[in-house]
Amino acid sequence: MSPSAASEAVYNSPNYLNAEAGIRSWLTTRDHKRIAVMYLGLVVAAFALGGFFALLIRVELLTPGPTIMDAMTYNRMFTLHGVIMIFLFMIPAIPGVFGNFFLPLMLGAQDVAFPRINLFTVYLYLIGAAIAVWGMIQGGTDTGWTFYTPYSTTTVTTVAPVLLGAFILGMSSILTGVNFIVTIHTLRAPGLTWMRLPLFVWAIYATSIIQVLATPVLGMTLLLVAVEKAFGFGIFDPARGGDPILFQHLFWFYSHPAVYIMVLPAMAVVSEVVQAFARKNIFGYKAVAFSSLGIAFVGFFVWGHHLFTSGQSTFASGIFGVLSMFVGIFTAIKVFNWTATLYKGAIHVAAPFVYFLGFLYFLMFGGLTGIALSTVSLDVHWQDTYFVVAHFHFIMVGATIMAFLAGLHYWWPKMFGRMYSERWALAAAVLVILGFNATFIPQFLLGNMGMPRRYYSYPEQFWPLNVASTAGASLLAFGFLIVLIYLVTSLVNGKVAGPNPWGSRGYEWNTPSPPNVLNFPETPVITRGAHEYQDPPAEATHAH
Amino acid sequence: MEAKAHAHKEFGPLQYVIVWGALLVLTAITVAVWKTHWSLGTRVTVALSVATVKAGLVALFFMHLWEHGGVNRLVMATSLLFVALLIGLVIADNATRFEYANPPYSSSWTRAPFEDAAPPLQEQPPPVEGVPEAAPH
Amino acid sequence: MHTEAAGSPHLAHHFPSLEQQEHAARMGMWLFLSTEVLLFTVLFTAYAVYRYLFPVGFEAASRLAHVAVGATNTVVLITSSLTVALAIYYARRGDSRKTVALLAVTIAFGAVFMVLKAYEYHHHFVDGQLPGKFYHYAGLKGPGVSMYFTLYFLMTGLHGLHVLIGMGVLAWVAARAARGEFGRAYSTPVELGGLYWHLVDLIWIFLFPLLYLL
Repeated sequence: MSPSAASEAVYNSPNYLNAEAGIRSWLTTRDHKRIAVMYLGLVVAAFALGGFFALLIRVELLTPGPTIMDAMTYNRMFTLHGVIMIFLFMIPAIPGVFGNFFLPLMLGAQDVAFPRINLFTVYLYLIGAAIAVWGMIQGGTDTGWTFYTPYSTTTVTTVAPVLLGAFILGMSSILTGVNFIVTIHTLRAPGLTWMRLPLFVWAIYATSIIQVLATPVLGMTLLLVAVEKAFGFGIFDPARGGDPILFQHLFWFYSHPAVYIMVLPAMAVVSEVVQAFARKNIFGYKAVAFSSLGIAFVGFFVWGHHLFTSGQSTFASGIFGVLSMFVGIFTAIKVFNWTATLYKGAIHVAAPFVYFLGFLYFLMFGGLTGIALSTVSLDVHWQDTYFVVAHFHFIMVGATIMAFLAGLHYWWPKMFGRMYSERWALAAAVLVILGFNATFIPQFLLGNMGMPRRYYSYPEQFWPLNVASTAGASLLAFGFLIVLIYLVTSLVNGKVAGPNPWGSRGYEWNTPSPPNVLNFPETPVITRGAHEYQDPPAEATHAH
Repeated sequence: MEAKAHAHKEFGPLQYVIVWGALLVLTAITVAVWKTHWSLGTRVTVALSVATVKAGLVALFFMHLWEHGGVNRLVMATSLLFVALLIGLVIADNATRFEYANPPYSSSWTRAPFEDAAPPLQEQPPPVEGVPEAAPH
Repeated sequence: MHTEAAGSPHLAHHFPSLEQQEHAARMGMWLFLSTEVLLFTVLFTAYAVYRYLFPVGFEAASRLAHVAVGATNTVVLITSSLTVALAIYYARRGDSRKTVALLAVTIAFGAVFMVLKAYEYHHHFVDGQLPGKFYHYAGLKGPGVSMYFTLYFLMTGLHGLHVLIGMGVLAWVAARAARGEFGRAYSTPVELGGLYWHLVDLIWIFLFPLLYLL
């Protein structure tokens, strides 16, 4: 199907946004594109909420003693921040928004395998989020998002609703994973072999495998904590023969693969963005594709590196430490291949590309500090300090959120048919990257100096770096705010985008912007690989 | 065309009853093992092996993995791999810990940790009192 | 023939054929079953760890479980797997009478299982063989004994919950079969319901020796 020519025609034909009007048509939709847009609204709201709590934390840490809250409230703040950011944003965001929107388009399919279940996951997200947040407001758990026993089973604060909310959110995640795996296996257009799949699909596939296999373990473990708190059976209580470290094993068996649920979709987006903005095929398609599976697989073997200082045996710690280093190999393969893709490419520096550069830089430092942390003898010094906090924020905010923003800016014209202001986008990207560095590099230094995490007061020698970190956080928040503003206003004021403003070879760009309700009038037959930039360029229709 | 292929491989009531019979026999074997005087290790190995065979029969024949397996077999096999991974590595941890990092009076505690601990600890872990006579052991 | 023209009422718009849709439904179900396996794995892990840590206590406590009832329940579930497999067989042949009857028998077996379970639980309650801090059976004391019962009740409780859910699912499928919805071309819900029921059986196949016999 050839892209339509006149931009006015795009807005005169029914696309998925205006095909049916009214709230009810949205709440009962089975269209994966509408579901993706609903997810976008929800995860952005969650991000704002989680970010708000982050700012409160940083304000509290402006002074060594109490600043704006007491210790108990501070504990609730970082628990809220962690629970919301991880379960309400990081896990669902990229699969829920870009996976839902683009997986069928990239496969030449009309929808995902189970559209009604897809809609159900949105409702599960809402219900789980509502219960968890309500629980926090009620009496607010102060255990941290990691719910370690025996504190979580004996604390006086309300834990059960948060556990239940997380359980329900986990169900949403599982069903999304099932949906995507079945879609990729059964709804590929004729001619779309596995080796012709876009790399985005490979990484989403690997993510979905982790979602399906790991999340049930978390669900059951959190349920056990709730049962333990309610009835006191003693499954994690040493007085009854229980082992508190067993909880940590079970929790991290999910939560370590969970970080790959967060970062693999980011890598999925980046593989697409780098090819479009270097106008070149990825270097080493097979290596990148299979390294996604490698991360998913080996990522299950390393959870014990969260338990190095817990009482876990040195033998097990040694095994986990070595395996943790192996998982870095797959990420390294991807980083080398993305970089090699840039070599002799025709680079177009736009906002998505700037975010890609930020992603690469943050992934490298986050990943390398991760390898350092997997060295048991070093982790003994850094565990539960701000070094670890900085490490995972480099990956989660630095890498994953950069990738989310890269994807958002790359696919915005496709999803909504509008272009945003490139100048504001570049300015915001620079602000975000600078603000991020200003926030988290001081935290590496603080952690190395020995400042513990989750402490609301600290000795005076840590004061200056904490102030620096808070200043950086303000800059970062300001950058995010700017992004929100110009993206939302572009929906009204933005220039109408053509079908392919970036001149990308990705298959999803063979549709109007925004796409029609029915993705393709007839099932396409795929005869080429995923991107094929070596072919003569198609007409890149730029925004008018 | 597919129907013929399926009719060829599709099982009928007789095959299902045969599988059912095999499962009953295997159940009887499992219960019989309980009555023996073999060591715990042997009994665990035999019981779990028999259970695995039973599970295999159910999965392959009742759940049709034999007929239209393919990717679904891979799904089940992969999840079993991760089951083994979780259980294996966690036990490896408990089995190699510093003895008092395990719960009190568990199998790694070989002696009383401190002399002046209160309440006073016995030399050996306290015995399990009151073994019921119902057991043939 | 499994393939249907686009006019089949069961074919969704985004699937090219009914056969592919069925294949997708089956794959989705198997993926869901693997999540259930991982769910129970948490309890199996706890069991394995605590059994390793308290071998004597666990062995002694497991003798308090009623092997005869457990073995009967095993036979009950295995037979119910047979009946549900037969139900699928007849559903594929459009014999809705036999399908409904076999599904009803399966559900009945599930009910028998739950009744026997309730009988066991009652005896344990009366004797004070309860989980964790509620354990007060005078006839057996020591490290690991109450932990055994914690795991016993958690594992059989979660399993029992799944039996109940399975009974509900099969009842719904039976209602649809009674309306004559299934036949040569379409019997996917019966298959999927059957798969869930078989999983319930599979888990019990492992629970029984671990909790009752060892």
